[in-house]
Amino acid sequence: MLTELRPPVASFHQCVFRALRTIVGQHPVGVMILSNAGSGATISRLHRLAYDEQMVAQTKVDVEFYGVPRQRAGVDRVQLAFATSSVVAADVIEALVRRFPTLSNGCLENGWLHASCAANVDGCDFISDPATPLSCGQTLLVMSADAGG
Amino acid sequence: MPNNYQPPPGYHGCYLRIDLSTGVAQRVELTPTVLRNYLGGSGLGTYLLLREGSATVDPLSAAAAIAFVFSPLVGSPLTTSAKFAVVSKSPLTNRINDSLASSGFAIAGKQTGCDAIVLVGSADRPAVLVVDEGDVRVEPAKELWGSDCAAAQQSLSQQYGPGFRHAVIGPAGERRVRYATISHDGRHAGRGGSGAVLGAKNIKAIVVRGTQRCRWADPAGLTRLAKELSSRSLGPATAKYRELGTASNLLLFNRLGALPSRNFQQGQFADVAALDPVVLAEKGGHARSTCAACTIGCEHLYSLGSSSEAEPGVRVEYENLFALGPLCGISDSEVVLQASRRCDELGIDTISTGGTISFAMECVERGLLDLPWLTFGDGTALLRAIDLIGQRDGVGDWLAEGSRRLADRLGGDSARFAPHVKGLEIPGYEPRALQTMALGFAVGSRGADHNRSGAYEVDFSERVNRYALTSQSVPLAIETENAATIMDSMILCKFLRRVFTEFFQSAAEMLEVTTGWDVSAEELVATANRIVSAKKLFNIRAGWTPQEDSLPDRFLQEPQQDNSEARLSPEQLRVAVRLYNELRGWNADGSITSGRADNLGLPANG
Ligand code: SF4
Repeated sequence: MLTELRPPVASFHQCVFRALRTIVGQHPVGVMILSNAGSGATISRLHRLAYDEQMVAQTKVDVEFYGVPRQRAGVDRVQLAFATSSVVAADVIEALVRRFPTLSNGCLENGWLHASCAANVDGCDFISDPATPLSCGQTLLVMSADAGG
Repeated sequence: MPNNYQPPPGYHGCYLRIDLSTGVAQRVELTPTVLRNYLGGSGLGTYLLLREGSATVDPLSAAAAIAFVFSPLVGSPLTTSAKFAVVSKSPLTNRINDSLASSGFAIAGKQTGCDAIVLVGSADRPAVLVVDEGDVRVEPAKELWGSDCAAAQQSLSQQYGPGFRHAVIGPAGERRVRYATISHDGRHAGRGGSGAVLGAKNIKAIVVRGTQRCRWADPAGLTRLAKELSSRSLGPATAKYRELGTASNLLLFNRLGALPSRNFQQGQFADVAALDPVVLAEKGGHARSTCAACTIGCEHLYSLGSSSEAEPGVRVEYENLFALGPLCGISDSEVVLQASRRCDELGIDTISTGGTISFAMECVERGLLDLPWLTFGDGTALLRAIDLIGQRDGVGDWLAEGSRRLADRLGGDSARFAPHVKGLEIPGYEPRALQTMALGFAVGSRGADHNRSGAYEVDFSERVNRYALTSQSVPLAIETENAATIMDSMILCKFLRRVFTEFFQSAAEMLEVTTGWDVSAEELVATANRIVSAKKLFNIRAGWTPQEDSLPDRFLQEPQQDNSEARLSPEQLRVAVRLYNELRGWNADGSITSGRADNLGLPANG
């Protein structure tokens, strides 16, 4: 199951999460996984995305869209709520795919951004690592990557 | 030229040199070595200018040369390749200037049977230069002189018929406004004042027609590559340009604090939403258009709410939107569209226009210039100032000289905030918030320039901290400049760049099928370095000093008013420029020893 998911297309974290979701159904909440990805052992906490609003939200992340992602999403911004206090960028992207399936058209693919798109946190740092942690109140900007004018 | 010379495929192997003073036209051979070393477009144009000894002459004198340069890809089925470069010494910067445009002029010009048309001398009265394949004539411009760009093109179409393509100047070029453009099918070779160079030669228009096509080294391979490129050009990598146009940068740059506003005093503009292209489309209507031979079609035209349906829309790109909007404190979209249209009609560069006017507005605010009507946010004032520039009337005569010369005239501390590098007004990338771009601006051979350096791409990535210029940024900035140099010499549109995963490799393949050269990606990187070095050599001969590879004091001594994180120190920039020079293979101060010039195969003076 895990080998079929082929990192690094998706992060290790995402792969395990997706595999568990397939194995145990829709609710792999709060599972602790020991991973040996990278040079040292890290612990990755998996959680179920709670943007269906039926769960108590612990982390709210705002997403702003610019350029083609805004066009595809049809909105300027959205707030996503998660049932856990540790959210990473890949979780937000996964939630966006569900919420706005049209983003799959050239903006998001394989659980992350299409090469034509870029992400930035709070208008400061650009990120490319799906495992970048996001805390409550932060804003992820999803934009067309090419800034040529 | 020897009769038996067989040029490489993709080339005619010569340039057409026309002396407008004497009427003498001659074809001058270009050897395969020169063509391979400089490719075409911006690279070959720089070589030709060096060869003509143009670095040391007044760019508005008869002795100055101006080159219209094609490339091995022009006329091929490769998308976006109908481009040419106009290369001259800039009357705005007194340094090398190369501005590119796309139009049928590139295809028809190359079909006259040459790889470049070089003009020297000057006509004794306002004239139209006609290059009808082998026949070169200088004809009186008559009532064409004084007409705006669109009207001139329309008259030329009627007079010469559909087989000819045109390059024209507007009233601003005739009056030698130092940032006048040359217009082609409504698009402009925009920056650095090549329109003034043509105006100084008394040439209102160049019309070209021809039938000579180049052979291709591998026609089947070329067709295959062209099909692949066209198909990829319609994918997600160019969706932004096709669907929204560059104007969609506006809201994002504002969010990132990188949208220059009120003469670079701020990086955000409170009323930016009023200029959102979506709002423009809702107010007046929206249409799309494209350059010749392009599958992308990034031109987005917006209609003035007040205009009749018959009037064509105004082409809106990020740069004219920023320069005539937030930079001047203007949020009225109707005014920005009218201002853009007026710049197009007069034939002036929108970035330098907006930059110079916004600088004047700040000078008024600070009591350095007594023009109470010229204030930030006043749309009527902006439109009035543009008209005065086009006519060189009153204060328009000062503004027509650009922000650097205006600062020289006004004195006080105005040079501190005159928004230029080497005299070229800074485009819409706030250097303190995009510090790799700050380096790109500082070292740019034609001045502050977002087309020759794509260093902002680095800032828009996780590879650097855009608020902290470090040595890590320097090789990345060079990479973008190298890629841009090859794109501008081959020539391809930069909006294709994300289509390529390995740009230099793809460029080498395109050159191989067109010219037959077995070029490697490494050779193209070396070629880029040679061309950038040739531009530097031109500037050195023109009087360059190391002090000009910098930014105005505002950017080095003040943080952005609305973002204290956005600050850049003189020392940071100095260190980065030094490293840039060393990585280019030059002396640390940016000078080039004669031995180094010889090693690069750079042409001797004159
Ligand atoms: S992408 Fe735009 S600028 Fe480039 S060639 Fe096509 S229409 Fe012209």
